[in-house]
Amino acid sequence: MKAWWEHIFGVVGLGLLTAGCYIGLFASPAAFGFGDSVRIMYVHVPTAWLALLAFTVAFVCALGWLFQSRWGWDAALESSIEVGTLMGALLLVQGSLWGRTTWGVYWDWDPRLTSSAVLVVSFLGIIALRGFVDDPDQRARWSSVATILAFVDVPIVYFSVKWWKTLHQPMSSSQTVDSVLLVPLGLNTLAFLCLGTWFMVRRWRVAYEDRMREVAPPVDAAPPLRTLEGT
Amino acid sequence: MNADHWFYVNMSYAATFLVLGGYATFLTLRLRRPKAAGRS
Repeated sequence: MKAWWEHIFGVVGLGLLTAGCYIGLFASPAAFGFGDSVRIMYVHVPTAWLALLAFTVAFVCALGWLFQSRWGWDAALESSIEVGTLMGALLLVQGSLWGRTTWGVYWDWDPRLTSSAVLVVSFLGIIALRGFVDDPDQRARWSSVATILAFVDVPIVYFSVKWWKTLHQPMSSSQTVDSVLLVPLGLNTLAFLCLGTWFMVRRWRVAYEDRMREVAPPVDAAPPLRTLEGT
Repeated sequence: MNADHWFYVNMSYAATFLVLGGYATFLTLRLRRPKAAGRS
């Protein structure tokens, strides 16, 4: 199964990422109070948004499987969980580097940081769960239920900076970020959106082919040989 | 220009490119050479 159109997302994403990172690293000014470390934000914030988006897609796919039981939903669930967890892990690495240079520590048990870590660990657990269960139907059902439970943490991560006093900066938007800094942030956000779509579509194809192989009847299940007299 | 800030900026971008590039490579190789049988 070939799909040339999915590569448009990859090429556009790569182009936008190159432009966004070039402006972010070399053309945009340092920010008051943060200095050059503000440049981490141009990759950190898009990573966070992509991770939360992927987990939201996973939540929709989990509901899709539970209501319709189509293998396409399960493949999309596998794909979005993997992309979301990967972005979540990258988010924690970038966040700890940001923390070290702005707060002086790599880690703090702050509500935003803790809820993000819980989210990544929860979805890592779901990936492990999918690895342990051999029956495809049972695997899809259990991981769908686990995804719905783990998704409860997504709004907690998003609103944690509003609900509690935290070390973390407030939500990034045009109200909280200077317009000059919004250019590389916007470019990289679009880049991550395109690359994330590219990843999820390609990973979906891998998962769907695996599912089709798993649920297909074995090739060697030929009818038993009988003599002509026996038929 | 603060060299200490730049160290963390460079580390952060390096981690990002490594993850994005690594995952793109993994998916490309995986799609080119599908598993013969069994589950993922």
